[in-house]
Amino acid sequence: MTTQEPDRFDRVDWDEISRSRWFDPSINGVGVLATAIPLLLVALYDWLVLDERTPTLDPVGLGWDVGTVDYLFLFTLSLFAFYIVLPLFQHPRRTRYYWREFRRNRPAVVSLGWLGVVFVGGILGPFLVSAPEQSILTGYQPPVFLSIDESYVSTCVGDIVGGRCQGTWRHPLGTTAGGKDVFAGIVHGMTISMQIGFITTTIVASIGIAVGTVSAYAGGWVDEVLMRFVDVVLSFPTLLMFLLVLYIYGAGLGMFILVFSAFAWGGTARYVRSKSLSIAEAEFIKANRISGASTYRVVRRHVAPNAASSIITQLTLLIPGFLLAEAQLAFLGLGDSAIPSWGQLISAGRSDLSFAPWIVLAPGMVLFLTILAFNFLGDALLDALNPEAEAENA
Amino acid sequence: MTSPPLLEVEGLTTTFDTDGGTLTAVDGVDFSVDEGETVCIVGESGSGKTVATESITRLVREPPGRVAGTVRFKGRDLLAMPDDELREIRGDEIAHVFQNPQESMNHCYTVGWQIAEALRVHRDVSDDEARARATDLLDRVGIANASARFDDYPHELSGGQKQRAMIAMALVGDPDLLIADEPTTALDVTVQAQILKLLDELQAEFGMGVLFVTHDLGVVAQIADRIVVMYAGKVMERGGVLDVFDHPAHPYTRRLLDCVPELGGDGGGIPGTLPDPRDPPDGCRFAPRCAHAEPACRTDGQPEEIDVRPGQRVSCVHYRDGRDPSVLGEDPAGAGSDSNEVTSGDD
Amino acid sequence: MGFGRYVVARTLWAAAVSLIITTITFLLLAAAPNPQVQEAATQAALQGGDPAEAAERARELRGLDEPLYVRYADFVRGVYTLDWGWAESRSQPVTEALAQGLYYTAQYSVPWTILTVLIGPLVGVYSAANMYSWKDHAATGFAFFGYAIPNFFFGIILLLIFGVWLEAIPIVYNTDVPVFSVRNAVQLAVPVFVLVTGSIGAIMRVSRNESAEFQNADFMKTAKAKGVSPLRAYAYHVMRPTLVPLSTTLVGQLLALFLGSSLLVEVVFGIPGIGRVTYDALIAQDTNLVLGSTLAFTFVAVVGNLLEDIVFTVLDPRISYDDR
Repeated sequence: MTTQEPDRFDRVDWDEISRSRWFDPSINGVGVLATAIPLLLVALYDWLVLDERTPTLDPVGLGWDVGTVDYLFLFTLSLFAFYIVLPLFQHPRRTRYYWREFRRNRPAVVSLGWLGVVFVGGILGPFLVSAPEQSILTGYQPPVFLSIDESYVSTCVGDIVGGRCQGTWRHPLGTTAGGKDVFAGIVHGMTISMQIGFITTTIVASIGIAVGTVSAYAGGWVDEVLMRFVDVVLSFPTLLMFLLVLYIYGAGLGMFILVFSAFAWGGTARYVRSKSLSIAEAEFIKANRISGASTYRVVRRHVAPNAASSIITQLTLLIPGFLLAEAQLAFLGLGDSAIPSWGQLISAGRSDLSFAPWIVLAPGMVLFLTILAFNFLGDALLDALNPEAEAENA
Repeated sequence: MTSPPLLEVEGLTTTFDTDGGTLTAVDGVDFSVDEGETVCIVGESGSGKTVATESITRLVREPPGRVAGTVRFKGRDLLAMPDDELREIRGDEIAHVFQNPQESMNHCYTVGWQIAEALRVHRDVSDDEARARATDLLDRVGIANASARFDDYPHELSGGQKQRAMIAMALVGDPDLLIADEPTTALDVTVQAQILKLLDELQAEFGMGVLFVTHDLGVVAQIADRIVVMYAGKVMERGGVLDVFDHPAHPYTRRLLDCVPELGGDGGGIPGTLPDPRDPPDGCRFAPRCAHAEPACRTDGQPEEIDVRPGQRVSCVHYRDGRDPSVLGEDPAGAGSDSNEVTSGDD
Repeated sequence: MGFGRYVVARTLWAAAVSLIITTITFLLLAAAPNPQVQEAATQAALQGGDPAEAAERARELRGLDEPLYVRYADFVRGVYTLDWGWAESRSQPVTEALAQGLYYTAQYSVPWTILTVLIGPLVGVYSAANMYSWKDHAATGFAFFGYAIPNFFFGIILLLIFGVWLEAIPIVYNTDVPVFSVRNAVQLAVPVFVLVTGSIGAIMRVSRNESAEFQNADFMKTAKAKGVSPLRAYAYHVMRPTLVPLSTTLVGQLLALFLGSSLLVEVVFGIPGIGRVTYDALIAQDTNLVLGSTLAFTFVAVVGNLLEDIVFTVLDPRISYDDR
């Protein structure tokens, strides 16, 4: 496809990318397959060969037991790397253009930086910082530069000055009542947050785009039924539905991700549908239709690429909702207690708030900043990708 | 003209502060409108006509806009007036009709409500009185079944009907001056003619002065008593409509008339584009596009206005004492533009 | 299609949605092992009886041995006749427990909803009128802060500052205080503030961006030319059209907060409202009450969405009833 606007990436390169995905295998497609296939093999091996108690990577000497959520996370990471990050390098001119536009929004740049920290922390953190471990004796250690009355701690790791236990670099953000290191907890919480963000986003995008385009192109009663279904999905109070599922079946992180993404795609589907309908009216699509392109081809090569940028924006604004929901559930003690999420930490420190506020404040601020960063980023993307919105504000 | 004019504009200058510097949309413009008279401001799109008329009652947004000069209306300077005093005049003594009737009404209120609002903000009237007056006017501007249409929303009216309703809205305060900014441009030709006819009738009936902005010289021919030709924020030429049409003096006016086939022109355009209002030419604003421009045209600002005929004045160096305006080509009078169409504006 | 018919059609649709939700709830329940049946089986096993037989008896007792469609019909009938069963953990009917919770929930929900609906659009429009001034930036900053800070976290912090350190507000909610009293206002001030902060941000942003469009609209120039004062112009000509797009966000925002955060806020502040009832029921494994409160919240959501659609069509005179 040719284009008149080489600077608009939603017109040009998504098309190339998605074409290469099925017809002539590009580096992007190959990359995803190259990660997905070994991943699948490991998963099968894990499921069929190893017994439940053996950590997946035991044979290679690592103690990391890979779970379903981890497999999905790794897969979505490879999608992210090959379809979002790699294209930025493949098209440096366009990347520079977007960066110039984006850079003008100072809060968004800071937000991107922060999310970068959370992302890298979430991926590499668990390998560098060992998981927080229970150690009752060193409970309530204060963060570095702060102190706590001696009577609260049974063993003070740092010095005791004037009857107050001083914080140390061994526990830069202090410890919980059970002696778990708050900093390590936050780093491991980043992994959880990233998993929630990436997996839900992928699921929401897949369902939303599929339902939206089918609805737009099938039209008639199919459209009607699907859109009514979207109405139902959108009017569901997800948190309560999840509470019900949790109550009846019990639920871990995987179920959380599943339920929340299963009820979050309604908006995306509606959006993709309206976008598809308007794009279908565009001349270049009509030309394609006349020259005999199939609906599938039109959708995948033109509609999906053209809607992509707006979908990304929309998804960016969905993620904070998921993070918040997870934290809320964890705080209520209804989350997956097996995972060290930020919400679990906040919940753990609640009763000690009056004398050990760092247990709540540190993860709480991290959660707040992350949600804030996603909102700023989404807002900036909205401006950058939608010139009309900007003109409107000018 | 012995009695002072209804509206007297002197040195009207409107600037806008933009990111790219200060933009001068209207640059020291003078004109006047007498009671019961129709004055047309003509010029290409972007020549500052609209801004000039919106500056009269300070409708331009301030900031970024800034309006300077004097605008005397019945002897009072509108630009020196406090806001609330000026507000009393807007919509009551001076009314506006705008270009785009589609967008000029609020889609959330009924047509009748919006007409009545113009009355209600100026007079202490009961709902019934306001409704009666609005219905009367809707009827007067030619909307059938006015009492029923009172409760219609703007989207239920056609473009022509909306413009009629806008005119009714303008007339509700029985204004002395009606400022009509391209009121027919957005309408199709048959509706255009109807609206012009309506305005003409209403002017006689209400005895208003009318300041009419248009780029359509065919319209000017139908309605104007006097015309003011603007280009790039400056007045190029002014005079009685017959004088200007029959003996256009300024090269710009001549080119403009050439564009109108109905007036004997060739229907071609004027080559070139309007100058950048942030950085206008030093001399005559039209010099860069003028076939007869010479060095004197390119310095010392816009030339002074020179009388060429009683009431007709032109801002062009070629009419200065000791210069020969015939270098501009022969006076195109009689070059096909008989004044039969022009006179139609006088009846 | 006239307005009346639209409302009827939309209401029927809401009823259908509620039935779908009821059905899904029933299926979820039917597919899961009943904790009470398991309980009975465990008891029997512990006492040396036959677990299978005990389970069977327990199922019979609860009508679980009936065919699925009979149970479904019973379930649906129960839901729609408000026969929601007995809340064992509270020894009272489910509906009564919910009504009691609602009494406390309403005490803070009514104020925060009113405050949000009043202040949000006003500040948003004001922000648009002063766009890019420090006032606008301050309002925008507050809006982002409001919807980024988790309500429960914000609540905890405020409780720490005002309750623990400054001792200005009671830490434990007191149910003995009369509804309309200063003491009640004081103890509800912080939860109301937290919820207003959380809900007002989105409302402010939407009203700001939408009204920015309207304040530059041609009809504002018309209004000015008519001699309408700026205040009146904003109140009538900007605020009114802004309410149209706002109505589609407003109800959704308020609902989301009501359904999600009220539960958290009630737990944080110890208010025995309907969220707290739900939470306690979950902890106490009181199936009927869990079910009842989830359904109650869900129906609130359905009715809320219904109202949103109707309000939208009422507000926008251009809407054609066939479009939606």
